Amino acid sequence: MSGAERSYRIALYAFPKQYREERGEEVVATILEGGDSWRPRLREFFGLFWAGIGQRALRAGGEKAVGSVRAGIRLGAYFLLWVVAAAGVNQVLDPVRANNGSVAGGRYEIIGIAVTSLLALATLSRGWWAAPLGFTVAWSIADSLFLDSNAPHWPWRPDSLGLGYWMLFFSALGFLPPLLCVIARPRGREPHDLRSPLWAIAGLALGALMAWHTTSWLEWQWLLAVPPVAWLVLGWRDLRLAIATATVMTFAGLELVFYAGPIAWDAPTGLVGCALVIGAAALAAIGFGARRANA
Amino acid sequence: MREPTYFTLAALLDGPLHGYAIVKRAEQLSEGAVRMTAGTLYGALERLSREGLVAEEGQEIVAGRARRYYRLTDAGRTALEDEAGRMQRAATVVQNSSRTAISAGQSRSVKPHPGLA
Repeated sequence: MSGAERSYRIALYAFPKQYREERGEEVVATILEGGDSWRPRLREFFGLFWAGIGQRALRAGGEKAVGSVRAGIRLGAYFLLWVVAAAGVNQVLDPVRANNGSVAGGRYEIIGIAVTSLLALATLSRGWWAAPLGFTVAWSIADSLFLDSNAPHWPWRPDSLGLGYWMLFFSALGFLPPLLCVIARPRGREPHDLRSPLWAIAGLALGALMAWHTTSWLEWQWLLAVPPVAWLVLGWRDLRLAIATATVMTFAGLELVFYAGPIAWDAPTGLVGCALVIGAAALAAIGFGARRANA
Repeated sequence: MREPTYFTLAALLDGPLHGYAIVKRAEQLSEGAVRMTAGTLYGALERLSREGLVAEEGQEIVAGRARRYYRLTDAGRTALEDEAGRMQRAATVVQNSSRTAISAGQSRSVKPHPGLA
């Protein structure tokens, strides 16, 4: 096998597995008919890579745009759950933070959040779309009723009454990612694009790594930049990435807006939140435009 | 219809071809303007197959490598003719307009200058 052929076969990994198995040999043969050499032709190599990303987007989202939108929302929600799981594990394992309590509340509450997020990831890998919401609701009720956590959760709790609906919205944001998994579950013949259970283990490992380095979760928030960067690189070929990034940005924006409201009055933070939500809408619109151009 | 798609269909007008032959034929028909990579070609073929404009027509093994042949379907031929007709009409609009402009310019240029009359 020549160096060029080896390179083309590596670029083939951009294609979905099924396509690679069906057409891979034929695609490589077509390129090599134009001439084989030690060095691959870059035009062919990158052409193959971009076509693979396009195929992947098409197969994951189905033929209609609405399928890609649902797949993108699921991807964004999954990423948020994964980040929460990693952050939760970090707080459980970091003894300093755990003993002092944390922004999220008491020790049991932190353990609850970590376990709930990891269970959510594990069940999503089986295609049980409603399970994460069930776990989150069950945990929240148990936390509210049996654990005297510091963080107010529901408006009927005495310590939440003064903050009213804003507090309710802020608390409800935690339910948004699992709720999105249910709302955006695949319909009809849309592909189920299940994530590997290894992602749950990766979340656990990242949390442990952060705790080992005894760094605050806040120092790891650069992770939230992963979807925008992925979108910048691949989003022009894949509407799912644009929607996934918009989902993450909307979540972050809403969190800032609600937090900047009556909880910790801070106009600049609120404005940044609003800008994130508007940016998310623009990103989704660009994604639709790119999809139309690529069609 | 984008240019690579149009020339992929046009390449199949004379009969079934395999991937590399389609690339070469499209390049020849477009006088070198369309040089498709394999990625572009197979993306277009996948889409055209899904839309029923192109169909697979057997395969052969040459030098140990698979070669699949593709042919134009009736729907594909109709779509290509429609697109060619649309482009021809669009070209006619521009050609007629520029012809009118040229003849108007010529009639202005032959008009004698009032001072020379």
